[in-house]
Amino acid sequence: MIAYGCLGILFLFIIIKIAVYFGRQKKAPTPEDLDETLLTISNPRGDQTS
Amino acid sequence: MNKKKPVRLRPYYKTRYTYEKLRVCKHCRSFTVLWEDKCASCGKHMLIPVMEQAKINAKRSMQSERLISLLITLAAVLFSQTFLQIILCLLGGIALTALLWWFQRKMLETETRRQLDKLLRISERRIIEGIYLNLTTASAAIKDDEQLGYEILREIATIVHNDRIRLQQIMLLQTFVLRKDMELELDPLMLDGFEPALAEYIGELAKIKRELVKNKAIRYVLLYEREILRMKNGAGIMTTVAGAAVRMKKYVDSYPDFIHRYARQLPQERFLRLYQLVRRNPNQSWNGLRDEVSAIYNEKYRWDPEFQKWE
Repeated sequence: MIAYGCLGILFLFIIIKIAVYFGRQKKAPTPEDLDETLLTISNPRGDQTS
Repeated sequence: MNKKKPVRLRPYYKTRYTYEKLRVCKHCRSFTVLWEDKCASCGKHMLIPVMEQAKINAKRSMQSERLISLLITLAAVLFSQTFLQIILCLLGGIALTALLWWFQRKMLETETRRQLDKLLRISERRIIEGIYLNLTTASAAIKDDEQLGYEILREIATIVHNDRIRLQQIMLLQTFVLRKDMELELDPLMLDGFEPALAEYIGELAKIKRELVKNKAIRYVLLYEREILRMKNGAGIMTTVAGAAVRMKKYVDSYPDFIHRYARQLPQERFLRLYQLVRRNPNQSWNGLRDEVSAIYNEKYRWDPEFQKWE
């Protein structure tokens, strides 16, 4: 029975992981967001003038 | 005045996204935007693009999840009491791990971006330190080799946007003999305040690479017209910019008064271009520019064979 319990835990683990991946996919930053993040870091204190 | 030097600038690889220029050392985690092979902090040849590092991080995290999945499968097999249970647990575990692996492969791109975002945010201090190190390299290079100094600053300017770096770039560019085949830029170098070196640079580009003179540059010379006219070759700069502006109708539509003021000083080839534009658009007066062009034409070019074709 413990073996099936482990299998059940594994099943739950996989389902949770897949759900987490789906959730992250929706909230994943776009390349433009990443560019903005980097520019904010490299141009601190409103130093950025374009 | 310093004599200008002929230079051959190293090609500048423009990337689609800014972060593609940033690299990180796998050994000491220092960041750089320069093209160097060795890390300036630890001296090791372990610099890789940040995107590659993010992909490694994403794959590592996925690998850990697969390992956990296999460990649970192993536990299930160990706790099995019959051979059938062993087979069932093994097959079930492998199937579920394969399902997880298949999903992870589909999500690798998204996860890489997420990991890159995480890497940038947790490395804020290191990125700034890396930029400072790059700036130090640039300062040292400028003293020995102005061309190398400019090339380094051009790379840094991809991610650091400030007037100090722009001004340094303009000053260095003004020490080079500029040629049409050079990879030059203008819009990213525009400053907020008036700077004679920038005005001179715009004037020079308007001669050799007039396609770079766009709205931003025209607006700049218009804003600081009075200051530019006080410069030694100020009127010449304004005229060459007006000459560059007549290459496109949209600029004549937007700045007819500016072109009107300098139409008389335009060289023949640029005036011919303006004349062609005026002839092609008979319904537009452009705030008196049409009349001015007609007057100049009658005074100076009426018998010119180049203009006769447009009669």
